[in-house]
Amino acid sequence: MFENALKEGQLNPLQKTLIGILRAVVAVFIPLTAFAGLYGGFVFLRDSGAPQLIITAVAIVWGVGGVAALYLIGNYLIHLLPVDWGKKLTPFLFIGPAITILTWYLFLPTFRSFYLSFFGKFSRDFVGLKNYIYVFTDRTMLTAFRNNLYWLVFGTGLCVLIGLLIALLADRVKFEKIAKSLVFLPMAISFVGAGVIWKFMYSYKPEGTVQIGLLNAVSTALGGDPVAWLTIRPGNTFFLIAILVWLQTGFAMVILSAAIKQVPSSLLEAARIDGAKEFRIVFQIIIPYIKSTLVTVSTTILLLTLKVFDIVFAMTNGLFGTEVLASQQYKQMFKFLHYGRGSAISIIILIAVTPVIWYNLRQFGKREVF
Amino acid sequence: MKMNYRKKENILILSVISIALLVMLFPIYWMLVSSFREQEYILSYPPSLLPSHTTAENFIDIFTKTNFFLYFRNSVIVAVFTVILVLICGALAGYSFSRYRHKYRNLLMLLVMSIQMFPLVGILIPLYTTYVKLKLTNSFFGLTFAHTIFTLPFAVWFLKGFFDTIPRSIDEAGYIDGCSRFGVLVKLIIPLLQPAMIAVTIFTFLKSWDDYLFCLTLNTQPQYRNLPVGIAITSFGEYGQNWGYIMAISSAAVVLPLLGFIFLQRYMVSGLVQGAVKG
Repeated sequence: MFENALKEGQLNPLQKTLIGILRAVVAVFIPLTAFAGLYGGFVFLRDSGAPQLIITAVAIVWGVGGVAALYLIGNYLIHLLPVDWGKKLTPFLFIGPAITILTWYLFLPTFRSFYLSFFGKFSRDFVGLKNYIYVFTDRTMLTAFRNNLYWLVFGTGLCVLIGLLIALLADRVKFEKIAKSLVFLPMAISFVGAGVIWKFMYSYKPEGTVQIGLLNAVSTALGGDPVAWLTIRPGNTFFLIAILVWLQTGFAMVILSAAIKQVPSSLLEAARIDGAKEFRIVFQIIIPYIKSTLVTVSTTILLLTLKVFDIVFAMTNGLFGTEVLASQQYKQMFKFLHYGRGSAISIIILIAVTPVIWYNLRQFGKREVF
Repeated sequence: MKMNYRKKENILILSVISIALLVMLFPIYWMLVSSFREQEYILSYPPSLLPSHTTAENFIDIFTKTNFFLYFRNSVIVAVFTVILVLICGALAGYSFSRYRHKYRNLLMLLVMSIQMFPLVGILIPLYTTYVKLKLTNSFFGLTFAHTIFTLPFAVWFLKGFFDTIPRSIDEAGYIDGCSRFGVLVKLIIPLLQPAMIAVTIFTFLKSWDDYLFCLTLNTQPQYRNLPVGIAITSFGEYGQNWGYIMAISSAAVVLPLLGFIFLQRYMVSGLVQGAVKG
């Protein structure tokens, strides 16, 4: 415990300030140098004509060696300082690289997003709140808001419900382990990959021609008409949501299942002896017991649905009224080159997730994760 | 009578689970079967559910006619570098959060966690404009850093939890034997946490492997595209109606993660559970 060894009173104010400055330098300087060094290496590699394999090998050595060398130099410098100072600076030497990358790539861009959202096309003239007014009045945008709400409510709800159901039931069968690994399997597939697979399953050909999509094959075999699953509104959004549910149910199930396993068996036995039916046990013992895990899982998936993009983009490109916020943002940016509107949309997504993040952080605080 | 009730219940449970398994596995199965099927029979009606008219032609074609290997190589390069960067930064930061207490610890911890939940589409535009200025677009380096942002918070947070489980007496024993702080971390603690490091490696690799948005936005030149973008382009482009090719490229892209999932699943599950149940 280093902090006990160090009594605050041993340092005078000047020394404290110096330590503060040094901390900042250590935390920022080392990773920045690492960045520059790495970048130089990459440029060199990019421009050289050596065989690909050699470049890759050199790059790996370069990357690992560069970061390690900088770290060791920093470590050595700290050793040269007085012991008290060294002890205070060390934590920052360790955190430095992570925090610098996150600051450089995350916090600065966020502020820039906010700034850009008040400018027009090509970020040239200041337009005030015009972009925000557009975002809240444009028809396509309103569809996107509505769809995102569907994604949020039904995507999250179905993932958690089905995941919970499977977790509860799998607990009672002999082949539990295999069943759980199989349900988990779709998570290995990327959103785009899943989108493509399901596009094939949903595929539609006009009536009278050969139906290659499996769902339409089934629907015609049963005597129905082929359905253009991806173009009927607003049903198509739900067919897209089904893909998310397919991908993420396994995640919800695995975590909920682990939480269910932690319910003390004495509690369950006592309830059974008292004659409680399984239903009551689930609703009055298991679910209250795993409440915090349920919240964590729900919020994780909820955050995922707020930024859903890949599925929509790969399946319908946002056509037929399947637009969501993220796909609108992408279009504003790359199709219409309107960075202002795009930024305004991203700020709105940010504002939408803030309460969820805030709530989650408070939960973590309560559970003393820190 | 009671026996009978139990039996009925068991049948109900079994059937629900079987249906769930069927729904979960069928699309994957269908993708694989279709990718090995001759083109004309993919389009036949009624579709046959069992493998039939098996051929490797689709695979040979996507390997020779499309840029599959280029996309594959790009994905591997970016994913490997992301994993290296994340493991180094994540282990150092996680160790620091676990071992040192100081004024800013909670604040920094909170920041890391909030980034874990941060919607990255929110920074896409400024990231893109910054990248253009720094000439980082169309480079593996830029994409690697972009992938690092969204994978690093999980690694830091996750490894911190594992460092917490290792008693400090091990650190102290290391110091007594003359190890430096860094030596203790690398020689004593990380070897003890091999499963956690494996879990972080898989998750980071997977997230980088599956990324579509960043690669689509930042690397617009064909020679820097990764697999998901490649898949999307195949399915939109000239082979758009060629389901044999599309299924083959999707199958080929999923092989690596799928193998990882099958053989390393216990690490991943313990990782996810650690993150969510414990906090």
